[in-house]
Amino acid sequence: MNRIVIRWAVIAGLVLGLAVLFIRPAVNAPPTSDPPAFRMTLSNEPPTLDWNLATDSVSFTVLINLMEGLTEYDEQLRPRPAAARSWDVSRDGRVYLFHLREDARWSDGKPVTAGEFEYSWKRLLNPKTAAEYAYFLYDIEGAEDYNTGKVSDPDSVGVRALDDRTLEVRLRKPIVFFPSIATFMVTFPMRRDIVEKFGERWTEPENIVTNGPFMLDEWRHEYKLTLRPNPYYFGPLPALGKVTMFVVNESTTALTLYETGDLEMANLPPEAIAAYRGNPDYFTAPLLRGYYYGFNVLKPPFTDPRVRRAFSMAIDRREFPAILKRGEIPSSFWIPPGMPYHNSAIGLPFDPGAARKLLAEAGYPGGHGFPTVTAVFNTGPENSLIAENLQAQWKRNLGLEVLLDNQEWKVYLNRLLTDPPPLFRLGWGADYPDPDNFMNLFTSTSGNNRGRWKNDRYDRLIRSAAADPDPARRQAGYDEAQRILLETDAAIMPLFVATQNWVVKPYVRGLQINALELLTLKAVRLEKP
Amino acid sequence: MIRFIIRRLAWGIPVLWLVATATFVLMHLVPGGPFDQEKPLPPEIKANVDAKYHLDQPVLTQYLYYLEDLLRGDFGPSYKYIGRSVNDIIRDTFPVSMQLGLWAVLISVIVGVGAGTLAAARPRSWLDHAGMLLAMAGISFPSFVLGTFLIMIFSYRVHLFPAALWEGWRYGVLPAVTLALLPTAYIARLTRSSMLEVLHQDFIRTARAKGLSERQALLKHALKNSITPVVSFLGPLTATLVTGSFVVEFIFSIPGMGRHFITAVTNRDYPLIMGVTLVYAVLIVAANIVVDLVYNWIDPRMRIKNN
Repeated sequence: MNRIVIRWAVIAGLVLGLAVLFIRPAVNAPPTSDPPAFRMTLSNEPPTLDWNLATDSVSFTVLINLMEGLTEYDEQLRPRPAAARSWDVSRDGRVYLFHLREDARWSDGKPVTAGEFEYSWKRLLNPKTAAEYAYFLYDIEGAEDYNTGKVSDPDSVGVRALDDRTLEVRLRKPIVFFPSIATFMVTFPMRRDIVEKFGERWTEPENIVTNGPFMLDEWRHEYKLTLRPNPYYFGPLPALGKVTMFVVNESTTALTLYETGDLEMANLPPEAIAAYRGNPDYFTAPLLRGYYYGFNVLKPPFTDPRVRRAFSMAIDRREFPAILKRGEIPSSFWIPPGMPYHNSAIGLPFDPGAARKLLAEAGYPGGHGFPTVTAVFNTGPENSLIAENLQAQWKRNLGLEVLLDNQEWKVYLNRLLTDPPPLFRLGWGADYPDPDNFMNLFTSTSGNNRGRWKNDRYDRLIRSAAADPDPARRQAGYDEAQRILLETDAAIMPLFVATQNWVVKPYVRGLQINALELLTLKAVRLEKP
Repeated sequence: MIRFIIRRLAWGIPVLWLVATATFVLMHLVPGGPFDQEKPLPPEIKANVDAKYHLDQPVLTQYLYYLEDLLRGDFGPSYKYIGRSVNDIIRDTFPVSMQLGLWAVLISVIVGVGAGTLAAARPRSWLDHAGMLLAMAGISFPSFVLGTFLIMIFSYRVHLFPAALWEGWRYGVLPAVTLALLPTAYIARLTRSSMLEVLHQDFIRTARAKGLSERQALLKHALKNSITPVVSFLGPLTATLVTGSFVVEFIFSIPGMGRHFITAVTNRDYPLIMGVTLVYAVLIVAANIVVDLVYNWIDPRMRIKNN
């Protein structure tokens, strides 16, 4: 009896299992909740919602929807008024006067004042805050000295609320892109009463006060954040009644949740892009993020610019989008498309013949006598694919054997700091959309200049372009600087510009995803079919 | 009994100190620091950050600071999650991992002991072969494959269980099953081999000779006597399962503690590395004490030894 029952149970189980395998998935219906809810994912728990201390894109994705600074980006990534209704610049370009809107309010109904910007900026610069992005304000008079402890008086910093509606900013040199810096999250206004009352817990939903289109309703750490419209927001009230941001580390899990109708949008994992390309819900756009290999110019054989140029010219960059399959844009230029003063004609072309000639001129005809060099990169599937491709191209086009080595991320960063390898991989994503943010990495005093390359002319060009209000002269300056960096000296070899790939439900309208990968939700509405 | 527990607890203290010290030394030996990043900090700002977290002090001083805080039950601030202490993080995430882990323990004990007993009761039958084949598959099947497979079937094809997230009991089913697979397989094999050994012993033959039914002989006499290896396995297993699994929590987006065992190391979040390691060590020590107590209860020979 028992044996028969067990047998039938096993057979029934098998039949049921097979049936389950062949049932088609149910069609996803748009959410019918009222008020309309938007569900998306964050790739990590936001490390902080204290905007003076935030440094990462996940925190920024939340903050850009909770807060508004003096300025914000338009669709072309130009700064436009936000909490400031307008601004004036002095004739010498060193004093900015920001005039605040009268109707800007915090989520508790109190007006946004210039004093709250002054407090926030001085808090950002206070060495005790230990803000990693304090250096963003170093162009303000006295800011660097205060942050580095050379002076202890915060009033020596050139930012002052002249009255509740006027903020004066005095710069130590003219900076034409300062309104772009004022879009950056670390410069958002801050309420002294809230920060001092609640201490380190002021960013928890029961304490935090924000001035953007949404306010923080719930934060279940490491799981989800819920945002609701801020009734005091000066602009049109968001159409969304609720935004839920789930912390989903795995992009494949996010895609499954999107497919099962649990999300309105998801970031596509690279392996899924091919399957979604051409679908109406697929969205792709370039990012202001460059991927490059740098040379340690103090280590032979890369002390010779001819060798560096040969390496750069031996690479056919069209192979990278074919390998990575995310629509990357091959680049021999450094200022990416979408950023002002981009010039796609700059950079060394793929020319294996010229590359071999350069190598011969440097004393290595056909690669003979060339020392063994190792290209080092941080561990990761994408980096391995690129490194292996580079290795094959250098072998094919120059006849050189380049060794590869990969290291865990923090070990690698430590190596770059202490003893940069002769050939190393890095990338850079824009903090704000001005070429200065990309070009000043390679000035001789920059901590980002890992290859130890120095060029006085380059330094002077970058300095004067940052201060020059004339667009034509800025273009000429950045063009010349790029030619020195990439062609004459070939200190780095850019490889490609990264892209973002999303799936968004067709009933979502008004979503803005910009090239800084910032998602603005205030204009989003859900149109049910 | 009380004296036994106190003695074992007292032994736990040097064990925990050793674990804390070894972890502290090892994590500081690994190259790279918590604030190394692609966009390097200017030296002046790095100095501000280091001063805030006492990272500008000699390592020995940092160690003494840490032990002092630890004695007060304070694991310190997380370097990655600003404004949250490690105590906060453990308080938020440990209950989730514990809940999921206990479900997995329950599943693996019920299914594992059941399958092992059935297989031992009918050795070399099709039931035995099928059960042990499944157990072998369970041991060799990685959890990320099983998890993905379960999501594909039960979430994507039939909307029976959610694919991920953590909103109620239905959300725990697939991750608990995924988490339970490996221990279930081990327990099934342990139970089977241990029971086969017991079933050949004289007292079972006597029980059968006295006219006990096969079921009574199996469940009343053989099972209790063959469960000891399973109990030894269950102690550390429970400690491992209730502290969470990196893979399962990632696949199913569960806000548990398991992920921090990996991400805290990649982030070089020193206090969080120490915190989760110590929680795990405490649980291992506690689980072993519980295992010893259970031995006392189920096995008279152990009781005599302890006395």
